[in-house]
This record gives sequence, C-alpha cells and structure tokens, in this order.
Amino acid sequence: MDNGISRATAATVLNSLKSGVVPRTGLEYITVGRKSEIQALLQDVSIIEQGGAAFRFIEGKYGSGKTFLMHALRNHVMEKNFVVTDVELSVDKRFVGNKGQGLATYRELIRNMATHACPDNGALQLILDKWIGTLENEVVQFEGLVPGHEVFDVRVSQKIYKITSSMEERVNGFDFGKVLASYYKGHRKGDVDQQKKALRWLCGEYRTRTEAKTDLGVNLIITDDNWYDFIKLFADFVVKAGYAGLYVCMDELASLYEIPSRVGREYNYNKLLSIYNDALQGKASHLGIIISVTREAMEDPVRGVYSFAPLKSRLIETSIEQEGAIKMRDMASPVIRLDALNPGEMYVLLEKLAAIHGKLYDYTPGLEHDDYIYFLKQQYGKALDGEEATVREMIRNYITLLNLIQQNQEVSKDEILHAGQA
Amino acid sequence: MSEGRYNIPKQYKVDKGMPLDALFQKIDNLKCRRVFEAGVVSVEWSYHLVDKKGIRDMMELVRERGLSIFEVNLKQKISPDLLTDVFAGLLQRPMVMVYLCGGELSMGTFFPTGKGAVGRMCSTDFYPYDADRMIELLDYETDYDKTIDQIHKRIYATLRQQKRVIMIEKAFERLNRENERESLAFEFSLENLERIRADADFVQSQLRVV
Repeated sequence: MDNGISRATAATVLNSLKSGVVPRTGLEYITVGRKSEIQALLQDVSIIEQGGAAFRFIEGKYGSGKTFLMHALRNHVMEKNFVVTDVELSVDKRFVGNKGQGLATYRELIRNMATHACPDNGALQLILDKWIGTLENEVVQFEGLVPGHEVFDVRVSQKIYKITSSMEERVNGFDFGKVLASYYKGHRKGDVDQQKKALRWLCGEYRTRTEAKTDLGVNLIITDDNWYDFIKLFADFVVKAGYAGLYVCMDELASLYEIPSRVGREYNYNKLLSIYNDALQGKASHLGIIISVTREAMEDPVRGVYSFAPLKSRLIETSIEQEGAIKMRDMASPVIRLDALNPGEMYVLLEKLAAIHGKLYDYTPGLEHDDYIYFLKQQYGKALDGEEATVREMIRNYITLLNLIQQNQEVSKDEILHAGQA
Repeated sequence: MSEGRYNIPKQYKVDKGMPLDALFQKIDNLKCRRVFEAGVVSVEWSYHLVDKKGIRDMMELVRERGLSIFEVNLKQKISPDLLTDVFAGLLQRPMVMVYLCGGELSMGTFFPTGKGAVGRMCSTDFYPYDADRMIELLDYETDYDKTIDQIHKRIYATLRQQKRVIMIEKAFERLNRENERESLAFEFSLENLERIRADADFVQSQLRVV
C-alpha cells in the first residue's frame, strides 16, 4: 500500500505517535473515521474564506483525537493560505484573569502565528513584511514606479494608509491602524527600532499607555479586557495582507473547568460567550475559532461550561438530537462530539500505520487480517479489564509491536504478536 | 455462638468433614455417583442452627433438630439443582448448601415437608464470589428473635429471589456477548472495512491542498 507519504513525514508521524503526541505533519495520511467531522470543519473553512466566521468546540474524552483533529485542520488551512495560530489554555493562560492571564493567551496566540511560508510560529513580522512587499509590488507592477523613485514611497504610503484607515471604523481599529502605519514608517526609513516598537505593541507587550504614547503616539494598549478585539482586527488585517483569514486553535479548555473559584470560572465563561456570540452573530469576519474540551469539562453542571446557563442553552444538544433513535448527529451544531474510533476504524488505522512503518524502514510488516483482529481484541479486552485503552494507548502499543517486528525479522511475527499480549 | 459467616444468627460452628466415600455409596444412580466422585472435593458441615439455647457440646448440638449449613468444594462445576437434589436425598434434613468452585459460589436449600427427601428445594446458579455480591441470607437485626423454621423459610424465599436475579444477569451477559460478537463480526467485515478505507481516502484527498 503506497500512500505517497515521504520518509521524512513517515518518521515524524511514527515518532510523534510513539511518544503519545500528535504529529505536526502528515496527519492526512492517518486520519480515519472522521469524515463527517472533517467535512463540517471544511465547510467552516469555506465560510471563513468568504468573509464569515466560525466557532466550534471539539468535545471528547482524553485521547479520543481532539488535538489530532485540530492539528489536521490547522495544517490544512495553513496550506490554504490562512494565518493559523494556537494556544494551549492553562492556569496562566485563560480568557481573563486577575494576573493578566487573558493577555498571556493573546501574547501566545500572536507568538504562535504561522503561515505556509513560516509554519513553525513567529510569523507576525513576516506577515507585516509580506503586506508591505505586496503593496510595493503593486506600485511597481501597475504604476510603473521603481523603488527609489521620488513618488514610489508616496504611492506605497497612500496604499498603506488606505488600508489602515479602513480599519479605523472597527473597535480599537484606529490605534491598530496607527501602529501598522508606524511599522511601515520604520520599514521605509530603515528604522528597525521603530519597527520593533510597533511589533512590541502588536504583541501586547506594552504595560502602560504613557509608554505607548511616547513610543508610537497611540493612546491605547492591549490588555486583558480588550485582547479579543485585536484578534478580530488581526483577522481583518491578514486578509488585507493577502491571506485567506485567521484560524485560531485553542486546546485544553478543561483548564477553565479547573479554576477553583466560581467567580473566576464565570468571568472566563462570560468572555467565551462573547467570543462565541461575535463569531456566530457576524461581528467577526475571516475568523475561525476551534476549541477542544473534554466531555466532563463541557457538561459538568457545577463547574463545566454547562454551569454557565447562557452557554449551556446555546450549546446543549437539542431535544431532537438527544431523543434521536436513529443516532444521527447534526454536524452544523457548534459542538462536534468525538466518539472513540470503533474497532473497524481502528483496524484501518493499523493498516495505514503498518504501511507507513514499512515505508520508513523499507520492509513489509506482513501483518494480516487475523493479526489486526487479534491485536485489537487484546487491546479492547484490556479496556474491559479496567486498563486505559484510548486510541492513543493502542497506537503506542501498536507502534512498539511494529518496531519489534522490524527489529527482529528473524523471529516470526506471530511469536512477537502473541508474546506482546501475554 | 460463632461468628456470622453467612450472616445467620443462632449458628453453632460444627466444622465437621463428611466421609465422602460412605456418603456417595448411598447414591443409587451409578452415573450420578461417578459425577459426584469426580467433581466433589470435600463436604463440610460448617454450622448448625438450633432453637434450643445453652447447647453444651457437639454431641448435643448435632442431635438437635435444626438447620444445617454445608460447604461443598467442587473440582468442577456440577448443576446446583442436581447437587441440592442429591444432597437432600443423602442428608435428609433441613439444610443450606454452599457450593464453591473456581472462585464462584452457588447456594441451595432443602426444606423437608415430609419423610426422607420429600420437600421443597431451590438453588441458584454459580456467580462470582466476592464480598460485594455475597448473598446476604438473613438480616441479623430482623431475624435474631425468629425460630429456625422461620429463618429457613426466609432463606428459601431469598434464594428463590436470588436464583431469578442471577438467571437474568447470566442471560443478559450472554446477550451482550452475542451482541458484541455480532458487532465485531460486522466491524471487521470486508464490506465495512472497505467503506472505512474509502472514507479515509476521501478525507485524505480533502485535507490535501494541491
């Protein structure tokens, strides 16, 4: 089975899975059993491309593939010319907090911005430079002016200010546009310091308004209270800079569920509600937000997302879904509930992993129908005995099995398979 | 009074091993005797419940009419109905039988209503033996002032109820196993696997950006 995967990607996929983490690349080669979920998310992507916004929760138990699905989408939209960014929510990175946890989330999101040309985060400067470069190219191509010409800078400046002033009507857009213009001024004059100041501001690293006023002439700084407005502004801006939109992935929403104080949790859920409303009421554009959450953190009536009534009423399954005897799911719902892969899907995943392993080490694992079934029955049997048997655990065990088969080719595969399960 | 191992009040410890050879000689059906000889490891008269107070010695105790508790260790499972029926014929007395085999337990009781082995009997199927699932034969609080006959009637009623519960549980387990087998057969059928492979290929093509 040749699936067209390169050896480098095969190595990344297998090493990541063996370590229990989601690979950064090659996810499309091992995506099994998530057809309707992927289709729903791709539908969102197309809406975002056309100027809309989308918001989704991915709900599932630990190890069920939430992060996997997010990363698969992240990689896909990055290839589709989106700016993507991600953050793992935690004790010190939330939506809002009295120690600047909201701003910390924003900073992480800006730091983790990535594009097709800069896939490993830190793409903000590249995005700004690309924006300026594109406008300069337009002046060269369509107006016949070359850099150094006395009118060249004027024409580029006009284009820059046209864009920045178009953002002024948005909330906080005036200052945002001013900082972008400031970055351009630095670029034009070769003033790296000026550019750094603008970048610092965009990254939310100015602590006082006075400092920002002195350095950049703006009266506003990015804070815990207003950071989400700037995410929306960035979504707008990246489109003007030539990208398809901004896609934000947030992992581990369960960290909000773990906030000990009820007041703290409710502040965060309230912020989440306003983000949700913005996205679905059309107040944001070219913006996609996807958040992963465990079932417990979502549905716990005391501490979970459902403990906050306005969110519960928006997110809970409708009575038609709950009572649906025919077990159909509405994939347009804001919550995509991930079921564990069923045995048939696991079987196909094992086949794919065996093919990738064979490609990486240039051999044939030689596993057959009965071997896959034997392995899976053993793994599901462990689950019945109360041992952990998430997809993650099964895959780790399976890759170990493949490694042993490959490293001990003089021993029959049956012997290894049966010994491994003893 | 000894400790309440089966949660039965008024019980006296007997701890007397029964002579199996002599006992099984009385089984007139040869096939049945062979089954018992092959399957029964030991039969122990564990407790004896009597109404009389102030029993002084073992001789007096075993002669006293009462309810006997026997523990039967089995090498291999024999039908609890058959065990209870045969032991009722051999021992011909009011009794509660506890059958133990491979970590599982079953109980039977014989309630004589006439001479010999005439009477009512009931036994449960085997079930995993653990403290949580131990059948509580009697509630000491309720039964401490009852006669042995009343206690035995209660045991009989409890076992009849438990028999039904265990039968339902076993039938349900069987149903689940069959469902699981059917479900796995479907999951691993070539048709289903082909569909999943096609879906995975479709998703792969969707996620790839050309």
